[in-house]
Amino acid sequence: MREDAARTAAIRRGDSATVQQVIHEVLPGLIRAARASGLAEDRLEDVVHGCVLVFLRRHADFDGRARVTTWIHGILIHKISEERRILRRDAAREDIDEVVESRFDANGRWSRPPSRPGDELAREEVARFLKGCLEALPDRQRLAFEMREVEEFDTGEICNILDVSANNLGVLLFRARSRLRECMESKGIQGSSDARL
Amino acid sequence: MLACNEVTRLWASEEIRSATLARRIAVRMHLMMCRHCRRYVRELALIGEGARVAAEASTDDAIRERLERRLRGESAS
Repeated sequence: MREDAARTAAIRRGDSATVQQVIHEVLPGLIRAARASGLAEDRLEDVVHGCVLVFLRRHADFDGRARVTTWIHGILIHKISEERRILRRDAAREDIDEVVESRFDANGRWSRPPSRPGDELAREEVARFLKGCLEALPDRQRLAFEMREVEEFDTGEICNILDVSANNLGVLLFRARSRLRECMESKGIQGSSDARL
Repeated sequence: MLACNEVTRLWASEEIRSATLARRIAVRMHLMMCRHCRRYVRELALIGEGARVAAEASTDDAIRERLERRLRGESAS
């Protein structure tokens, strides 16, 4: 996805109203992404601030081939990975998810089929349970998942931001979603037994 | 005939989006016949929606306002 041509031109020449508007638009997403990357709460503000300063200094380099949101998120991830090298690790080297594999038999059919985590739960309850499950995810998986589902970047944009191949992103999303589903399932069972107490 | 583990992998990794037409049809056919995989797909949608609700609920207003103040100070100087 490209940025609008008129907006790109305004950003490049540093039109103050446009630049302020862009910053206003991207801040909430930048804060969420910084948190999703595993940064401590007390580091969020400074890291996002540093990222916006880079944008203010380099706005003339913006070429409009990607949306400006994508471009700034790329700056953020670059900054974060300077202090958190783990974000740059190759997805292929992450541990194979035995939890997930064990759900299927030798022919690839479900041996333990999904047992409805939260079919009956309200959206707010799902969200509440999900928070803990998200925190338990490896940083890169959480970041990829949240960029996709919360920030609603398309997969190409996320590859661009995280500097990973489409294959790597697929692996990250698959593992994130599998783990979240497993985690919700276990909490779903937990939740109903709690309710009986 | 696609196996369940392959269907779930194609779906959750979103590889399905760039798959060949034949493969996308095979996944659709599988989903029509397999209630476990249908449930899996439904749950992923529920989890995505839950993540959006969770993000809306945790507002970062305080940190955002501090940042905007800091940045205004800097662009004015």
